[in-house]
Amino acid sequence: MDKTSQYVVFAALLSFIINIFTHQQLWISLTNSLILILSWLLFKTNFPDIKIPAPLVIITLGVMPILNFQPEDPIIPISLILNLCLLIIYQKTSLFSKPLLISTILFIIISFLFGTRIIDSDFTFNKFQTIFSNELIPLSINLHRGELNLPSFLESIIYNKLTVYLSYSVANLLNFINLKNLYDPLLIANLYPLALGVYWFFRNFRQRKIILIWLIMILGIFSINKTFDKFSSLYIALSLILYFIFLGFSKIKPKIYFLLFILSLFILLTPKI
Amino acid sequence: MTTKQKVIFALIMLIAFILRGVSLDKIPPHLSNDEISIAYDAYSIAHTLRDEHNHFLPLSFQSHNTYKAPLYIYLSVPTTLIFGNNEYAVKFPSLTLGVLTVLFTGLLVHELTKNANLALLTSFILSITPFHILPSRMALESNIALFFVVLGIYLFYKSLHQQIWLLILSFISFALSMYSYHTEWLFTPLLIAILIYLNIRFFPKKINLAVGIIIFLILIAPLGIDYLNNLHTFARANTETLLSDNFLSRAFKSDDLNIVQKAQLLVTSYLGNYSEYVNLYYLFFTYFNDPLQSHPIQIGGIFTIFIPSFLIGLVKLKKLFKNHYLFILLWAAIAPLVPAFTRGGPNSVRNLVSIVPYVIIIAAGTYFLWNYFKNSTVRKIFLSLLSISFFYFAMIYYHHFPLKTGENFQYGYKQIALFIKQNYDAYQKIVIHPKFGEKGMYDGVPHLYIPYYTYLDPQKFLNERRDTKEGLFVDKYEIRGFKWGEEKIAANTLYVVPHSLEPSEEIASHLKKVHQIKLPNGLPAFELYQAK
Repeated sequence: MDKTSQYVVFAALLSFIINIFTHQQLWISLTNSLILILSWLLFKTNFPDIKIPAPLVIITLGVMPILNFQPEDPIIPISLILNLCLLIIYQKTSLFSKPLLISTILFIIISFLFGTRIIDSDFTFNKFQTIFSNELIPLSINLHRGELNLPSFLESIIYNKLTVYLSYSVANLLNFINLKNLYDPLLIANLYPLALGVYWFFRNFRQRKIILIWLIMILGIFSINKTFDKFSSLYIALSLILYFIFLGFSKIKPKIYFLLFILSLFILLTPKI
Repeated sequence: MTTKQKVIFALIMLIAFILRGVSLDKIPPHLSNDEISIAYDAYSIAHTLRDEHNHFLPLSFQSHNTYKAPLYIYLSVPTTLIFGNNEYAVKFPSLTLGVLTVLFTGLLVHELTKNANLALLTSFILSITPFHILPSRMALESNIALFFVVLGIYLFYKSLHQQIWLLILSFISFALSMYSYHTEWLFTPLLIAILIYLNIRFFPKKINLAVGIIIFLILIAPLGIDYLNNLHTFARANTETLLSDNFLSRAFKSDDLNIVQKAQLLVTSYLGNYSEYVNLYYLFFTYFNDPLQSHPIQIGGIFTIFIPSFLIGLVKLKKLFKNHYLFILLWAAIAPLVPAFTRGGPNSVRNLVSIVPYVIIIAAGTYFLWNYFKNSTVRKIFLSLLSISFFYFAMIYYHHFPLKTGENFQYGYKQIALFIKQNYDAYQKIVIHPKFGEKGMYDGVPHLYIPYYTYLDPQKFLNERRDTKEGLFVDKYEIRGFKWGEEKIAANTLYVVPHSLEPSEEIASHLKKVHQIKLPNGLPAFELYQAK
């Protein structure tokens, strides 16, 4: 095992210990640590030759709040783990590629639907978790149509449900993906490699279309999810977030990262009053 | 630039001017309380060299105890002398420098990239962006500060490898930005530090840089001296910072927390605030939601159609701006640092300096996408959506907004003043209730609107003004609260009250309503009475 992978194991161990202290439950401690390790394996499958200049930084992932979060439903971490296993196998082998791909997408969808509570743990569909249940939207369309005396063809474009729901879903997505919603679960320090990882990925995504599809699906689910708990919602994207962070770690300046990490700890330990 | 590009540039400037200048006296519907303070101070300085509070050529204008930066008011003095006491006089500096910001932003991009088409695109996007149009139509100090910042940056880059005088002009412009708005007191020095750090290797003679910095420090020294001599100037700053937030101020007074914990709370609050300022939801969706509160489609400070451009721009910025991409990103990152220290949620006026780097990033993304999608269908769809977005904004802002927001701008005082001007000699006394709005909830500033629009001699205003606990008394005006039941109705007296404080029937029987001021939406705002 190379040195970097050893540090990943240390980080997983650190997360395990913190989970045990926080939740006193073995299953979430194991699953969260496993998600970290499998995300690393997926990353190494995609980028076997990439070097992380300061692998010590990886240990800091162990204290990331989202890795020490317990989702309400155990189906979610299990789906994430299965999803990661299938993705790794899919990327490593050309056998059964289609069934593997379909299964991967299926488990992504399952984790999304349960993670955002669009499907409850008793398998009932909860439409009130989506923006489509917002009764104010059709109400406001009818209320304000005609108010501005727009030409009728413009009115038909602006004041129709498709336009409005599309606008609303994009607004919903942007409202969720804000700095505070990211740094609370991930720590400020990890936004640095995350940004670099996402930037580098988009400059070179053509070879990794499955990851792009995964990202688009996640963004899609965020955009239609009505009520956001930042931890629950980001948890379903945890493996993808870790993937980008690992990618970003290969580009960071370690000194800047460590300074940000100190700031992150400073904020993390803010008294709750 | 080719001749065709120059023609396009001229057209863009024309668009910028029209969007910022058309119906300037009606949209917004009335001068706000900050604008009238600027307007009146400019009027007073023009005739007496003293501000409303009798301070001689101040470097900090007391205003409503907000202690405004001075430059905007001094720039309004010549326009007041030329145009008289009206909206055009007080808004002219903002309009002109707003249009010039569009010009110099394009020139800056051209200087950084040598790409004329990208420069034109950047100017065009800024010219049609609501985030910049709205402030350019108001007398806002932050808008002229933005101009001086952009000009300073442009001259700075122009001076690289070239003559020292451009660098000196750059630092003069930066100094003027600090005379324009308080946010720049911290932002501009930080920006200069970044510019120097990123570009010091391009200066063949470091001594030129030192000269520029010294000139800059000399120019801003009077601000520093004035600040130290008048520490109460920051009375408003103290009430506007995070430290005055209820939660934080209680925490800071608490003995249960040590200094480290208090620092942690402050840093956490600050970062939360900063996060709101850079929230894309605010930028692209809710910036302009005042007149649109329940509309199904909201308008942001930047059109929603540019979201993909913004994201792509972040990735492609380095390719287009090469060595200078980092400066653009840092500019965008540091712009909200100072306003994030104030409370009350994201404030677009305080954060105005961020619009230029955002537009540059968007232009970079749009430029890439435009060249990537050579398919004319995609281009037509983009242009159609952009046109629809702009048309929707234009209908909302130029038609809907002035009708709906009269009360927000204390609409009615100008109209009262014009009535008084026509009937001044008919009254011995004019009593004006200082409240306005629904249920008379809000405190107005009629003591500025009325003298301004009636051209009351500013020297007389200074000589005769009496501020007592009952109210403000000057000339034949009494600006004070009163209750109809307790007021002794006097003959030859005009009473001005908000509609919500109309007299009862019994009292009204002793009065004659001589005029009513209505809001642009037709609802009554003020009633004017005299004794029967």
